[in-house]
Order: sequence, then structure tokens, then C-alpha cells
Amino acid sequence: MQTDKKISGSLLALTAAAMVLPGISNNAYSSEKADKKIVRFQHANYSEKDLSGLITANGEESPRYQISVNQFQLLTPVKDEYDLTLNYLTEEMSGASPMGNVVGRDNSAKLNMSGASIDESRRDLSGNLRYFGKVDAVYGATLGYSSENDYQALSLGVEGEHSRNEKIQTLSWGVGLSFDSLKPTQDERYVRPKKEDKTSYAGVVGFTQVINPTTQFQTGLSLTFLDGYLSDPYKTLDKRPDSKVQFAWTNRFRHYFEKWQSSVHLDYRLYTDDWAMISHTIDLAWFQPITSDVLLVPSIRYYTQSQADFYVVFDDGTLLGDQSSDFRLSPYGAFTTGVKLVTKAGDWKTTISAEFYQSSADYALGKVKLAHPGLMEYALFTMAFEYAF
Amino acid sequence: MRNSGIISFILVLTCTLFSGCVQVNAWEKGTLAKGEMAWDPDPLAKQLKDHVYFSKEGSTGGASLGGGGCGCN
Repeated sequence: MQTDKKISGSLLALTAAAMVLPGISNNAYSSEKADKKIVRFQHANYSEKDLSGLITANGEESPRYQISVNQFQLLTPVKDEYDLTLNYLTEEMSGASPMGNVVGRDNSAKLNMSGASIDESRRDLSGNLRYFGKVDAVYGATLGYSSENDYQALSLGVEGEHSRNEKIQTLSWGVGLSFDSLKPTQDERYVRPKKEDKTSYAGVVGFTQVINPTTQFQTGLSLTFLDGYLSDPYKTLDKRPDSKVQFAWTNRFRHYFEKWQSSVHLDYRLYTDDWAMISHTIDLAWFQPITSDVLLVPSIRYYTQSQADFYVVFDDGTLLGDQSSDFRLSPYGAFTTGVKLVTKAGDWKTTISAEFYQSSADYALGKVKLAHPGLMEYALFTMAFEYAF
Repeated sequence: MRNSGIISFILVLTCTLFSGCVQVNAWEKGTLAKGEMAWDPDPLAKQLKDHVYFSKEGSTGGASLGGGGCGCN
């Protein structure tokens, strides 16, 4: 298989940031201090469905991304008042990527694929230290570094929680930033920047309420400001604004049904940004014990987004100003269906899961004027182990 | 119109939930301390899925927050 590290549109986006919000940890699965060590390992296989020759510019079927991911995590108490979480991730990626959209013989948009196989890897290391020395408060600091051959990102942040009334109410906050550096691999056939930078600033504030002994609710706001190079250097024609302001309102609901000994998780997120995109995300999961040591978790997620104001379905060199034919900026909707099986044996926990993602302009909530021809389908399979000691 | 309808629904739901709050003592929070009642029971899966959606969709944000749970440890 030919190896080409030079064309990597989706790859760039996939590896563009170590964290969803820079410098803000993903450590909220527990607000309690770790009282013993926990080691976690997860292996995942991510596989995008091949593109049909009917929608590629050369008429040939094209593979998309295949990614193999390994994640390691250690959570450990440190002295009496701290705990520490260390995360290490490796990704090995291969496949092909759309370089842009062109007009086909039938006057419809066709994807111009990179045509060569991309072979790339990423390493990501992060740590989160939390301090529990204050009554009814937790403070944390996060540091992360992500690296690949053409992209480096350094992120850091601090966060806190303040509880009252025996933790019936909790106010949470966090601020973080990320410094990203991009050095695109050069190819004499294309004009690409030599080096570009991006800085991200993020803030999040939220409120958690225990409603009754079986129900809790959480609402939060996040604001992110991106400044710098936000285009995709590996696409033939992609010019985006050099700043972006993102706003998200997240709501999460947990309820336990005594009758079935089951719990339901319901999440909703509203997102908008100054590129004119609005999205809605609804997540629903049902946690059903089969025996005292086996748990079955079916889930479904619905996502819908409007298009960015400079999205185009064809690349057009005569257009002035910003334009991008990236499918991520197009209007569409998507469903994710999944199932997970968790088994416990002593201090060990094993999890296997399967998830399927399908996106389509037909699933969009609002009216779609310009559907992208190359919307995605993928499958994600994971196997994970956890050991507490 | 659809967007404003969804937002209105969420606001009404939020107000309804908070109006139903009752005092919950520490010894009554055993159910909330169950692993499957955590905001994110599977941290590695959460990290991976967030990263995939961040990479493959146009919108992101809304990091996890803490709070709730047992409060008894």
C-alpha cells in the first residue's frame, strides 16, 4: 500500500485538539476523591464506510478512514488531599480524504479524493491533579500535549466545584486554553502554508441539582474563542475566517427507576457559533442490569446542524471571500445507535461496545438547500478493561 | 421556529424539574452513588466519543461538569 502523509483533511480535524474544550478535564465522572488506584485500558476500532464511485470525481470507489485507538488511564490518590489522573492515547490512522468538491459530468457535486493512502499516528498525554483539602470544594488543574508529524497542541486549564447543603447543589467552573502549531507537509503540486498557529480560549460554568434520592440534573454554559488559522491546508480551496466564537448550553438528566432497578441518562445540547451554525444534540441511554454483575446499555443519539454561512457545495476559484466545501460545515442530521455490555468480576470490569453512525441531509431538522454528497457512516467497536486495587 | 420550540421545551422542563426539588439527606443518596448514575460512568468511552464527534461534526463544546452523586466519600 502506498504511503502518503501529505494529504490529510479529515485527519487534520480529527487530530486538531486533544480535548473538546481545551484545558478543561474530562474528570467529572466523579466529584469524589479516589480512595484506591484504578487502571483502565480501552482498544477501539473506528471504520468509515467506503465512498461509492457515484460520488467521487474519478468514478472509483474510495476508502475513508480506519483508525485504531489505544487509551490508558491511571487514577490514583496522592497523599490525603489529592488525586491524580494520567491519560495516554495512541491513534494509528489510514485511509483517504476529500480534497474538495468539483462539478461532475451530471452537474452534481463530486468528491475529489486524495487518491493515496494516508498513514499517520498521534500520541496524546494529559494529566489532571485535583485538590480536596477545602470543605465543600474541589479544585483541579489539567495539562495536556498532543503530537503528530504536522501538528502539536499544548493545553492547560484550571477548574473548581463549590457545593452546599450536603452537595445538593454544586456550582462548577473551568477555564482553559490551547496553543496549537501546524506545519503542513509540503507537496509541490499544491500551495500550502509553511507554518500556522491557533490559540483557543475556553470557559465553562455549570450548576448541578440533586432533585430527589433518585434524580439529579445539571445545566451548563460554555464559551470558546478560537483565534488564528482555522482553514484546512490540505484542501485545494478552503478559506475560513481567522476567528470563531462558539457557545454551548448543555443539560443532563439522570433518573433511577426502583421498579426496574434501571437508570436513564438524557442529555441535550444547544450549540451556536458566529459562523452561523446552530446544532441540537440529544443523547438517550438506558442502563439495564441483567444480573448483579452484568449490565446492558442500549443508547441512541440524534444530532442536527445548520450550515456555516460560507459553506459551498462546489469549490469556486472565482468567489471572493471565505468558502469551504467541508462536509462538517454543511447542513445535515445524524443518528448514532449503540449497545454496551459491562461485566464485573471481583476488582475487574470488562466492557465491550458497538456503535453505528449514519448521517444524511434527510435527517436534518431544518431545510437543506445544499446537501453535501459525501456525508459519513462509521462503525466504532471497543473493548475495555478496568482494575481497581 | 423549530429551534425556538425546542429551546422553550427545555426551559419549561428545567423549571419543572427544579420546582420538584426536595431535601435529600446524605443517607438517602445511595442510589445516586451507583456507578450507572454517574454523569459519565465510562470515562474512556466518553473521551473517545467526544473526540470523534469533535472531529467529524461542525459543532463542539459543553464539557462535563461535576457535582451531584453521593457526596458521602
